[in-house]
Amino acid sequence: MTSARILVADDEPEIRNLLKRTLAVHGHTVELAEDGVEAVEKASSWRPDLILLDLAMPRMGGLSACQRIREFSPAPIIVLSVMGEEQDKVRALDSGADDYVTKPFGLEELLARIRVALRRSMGPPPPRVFSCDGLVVDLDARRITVQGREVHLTPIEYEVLSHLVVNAGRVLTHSQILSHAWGPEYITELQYLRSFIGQLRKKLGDSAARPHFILTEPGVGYRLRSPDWDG
Amino acid sequence: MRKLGGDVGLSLAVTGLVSLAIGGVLSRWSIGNLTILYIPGVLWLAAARGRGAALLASAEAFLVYDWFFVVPYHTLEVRDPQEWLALSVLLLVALATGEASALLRRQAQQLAEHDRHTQLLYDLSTEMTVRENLGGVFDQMLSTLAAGLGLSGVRLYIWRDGKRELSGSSAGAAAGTLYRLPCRLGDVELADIEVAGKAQGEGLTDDDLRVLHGFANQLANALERRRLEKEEQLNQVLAEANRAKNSLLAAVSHDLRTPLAAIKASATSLLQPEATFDPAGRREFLAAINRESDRLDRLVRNLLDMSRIESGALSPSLEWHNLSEIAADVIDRLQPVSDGHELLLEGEDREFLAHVDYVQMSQVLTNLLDNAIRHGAPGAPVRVAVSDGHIAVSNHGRHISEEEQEHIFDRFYRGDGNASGTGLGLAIAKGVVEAHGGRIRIENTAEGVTFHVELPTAELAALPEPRQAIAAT
Repeated sequence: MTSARILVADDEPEIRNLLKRTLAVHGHTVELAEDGVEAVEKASSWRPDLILLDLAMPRMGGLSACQRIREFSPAPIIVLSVMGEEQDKVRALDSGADDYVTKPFGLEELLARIRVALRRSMGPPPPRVFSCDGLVVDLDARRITVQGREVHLTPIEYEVLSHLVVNAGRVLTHSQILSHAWGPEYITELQYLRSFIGQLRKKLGDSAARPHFILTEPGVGYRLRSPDWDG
Repeated sequence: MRKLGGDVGLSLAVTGLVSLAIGGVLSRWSIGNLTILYIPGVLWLAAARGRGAALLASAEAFLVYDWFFVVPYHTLEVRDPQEWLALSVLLLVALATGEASALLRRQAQQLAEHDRHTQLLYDLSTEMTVRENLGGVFDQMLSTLAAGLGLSGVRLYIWRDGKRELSGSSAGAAAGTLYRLPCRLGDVELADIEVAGKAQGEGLTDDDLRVLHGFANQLANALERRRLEKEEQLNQVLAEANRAKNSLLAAVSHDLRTPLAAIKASATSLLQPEATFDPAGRREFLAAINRESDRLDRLVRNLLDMSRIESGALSPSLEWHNLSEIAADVIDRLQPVSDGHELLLEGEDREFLAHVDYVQMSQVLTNLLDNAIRHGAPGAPVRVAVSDGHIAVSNHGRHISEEEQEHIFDRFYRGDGNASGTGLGLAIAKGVVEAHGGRIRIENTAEGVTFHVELPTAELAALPEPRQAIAAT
């Protein structure tokens, strides 16, 4: 796996140090920031490849810091949040953050998110044929097969799926998907999105209760399973 | 004026009648002085009409007797000193007896008035003690008082939080203030009564004032009593809250300690420099740390939810979610810590949409499953069945008695005493489901117990059918 320069911004010293040690073990170089202001400064001066940003920090919250960093840096930002900050989480994602993990999180989950984000920003351009656990999406041929069986989608269903494929492994908010597939004036039409995802899952052979490919991120959006997750 | 007219008429009638009688007697017999015959009439007038009528009658008798029966007749001249004496005695006796009987009459009247006022005060005081909600009867009491004393209007002002508030008035109370009467307890003025005046325009009598003061005293006492009752109620609420807080602290510290102890034990075992564990052993300790920290996380979430429910800050952010997906999510998280109970899901092949807060509804299911596992027969499966607007969590195990069902959703209720848990889980489940406009109920089944969560389904109709309307664009 690629080694990267990662900026960790969290006001909890325990979390900061734990992340620093763990990420170092995985070959990354880590710099720490204790609050939002320091995070913005170091994002500018140290030029990290990826930023882990806690939402609830003194001086400047993660949401403002995220918006400020996006003004000058394209480095992927992964937001660290606790349960109940759904609104802030969605706002951070809609204003430029790439992903989030909810505290308390397991390290394997965080590492998978980091992998996906780094692959997108630093890796080679993604292949035009996406393949994961028997789902194959050929973006050039607009051809989809599940376990070798061809699946026929409506144009809008294809728009939704291909958007998820391009961002595989990464959360997309409801409004991001709606705006992409239907246009910005539809970003509040959650029911449409929900019923399209339902149909899409059915066509991909996904279970209603335990979807394997298109995963629900409650209150936030959807995420397509990525082959990157397994390391 | 009417009374004076009556007095004059009556006294003239009495004097006339007696004079006719005297004339009749004197025309037949020559008897000395007969002025004494006027005395009973004067006495009667004094008793019936008061001092004025008695005086008038005496004067009239004096003049009439002098005119008709004293020589020289038909003049007011009196020659005989004996006649002078007789007439003077008549006047004096009439005055004295009239005065005496008028006094008696006044006393009798005062006594009756006094009686009436005492009765009035008594009536008012029973109203004050009998009624619990004093505020509701103030108007009625003041009306009774005004009618009893013939007052044109009475208003009551009560001091509340340093402000003087109009708290009641007699029916159709006239404006204006003739008299202001404080209701004091010790040096503290609790309220005051404003009296507009007498309906007849007279001044207040001493007796009226006595009644008003009595009323004011009783009112002050009643208000103080009410204040003490309120204070007592508040104290009880605070004591209850304090008890709840203490039992929460006890339950929480116990429940926090259990996973903490496991984590601490596992971590310190791994840290021991001399101890060497094989990979499987190490993994066991690490798995315990991982599992117990998840338990801690669930507990902290419950505490947070409880405080939100208590403070009324639990506002579900409602979105359309698939209930079977929520159930599957919860089951997958709890299966590893289910103490050998198999967690089964019915209805996972379909979407059952409900307008719910995902996180909060997960917490409801987590708590219901946790409860079903803890009280279920060892090794028996726990079943979650999802359908439209409905989730049922069933276990195998002992029934829940009617009596227990009444308390099972109370905070800190912990079943038969040996049960573990904070006694928060079901209280939170109920609080959350009710915040969603749904309800939760218990059913004893053949095998064990089923908890039903019923969510409103009316909104489902408003949901557009999955259709291609905008897909076609």
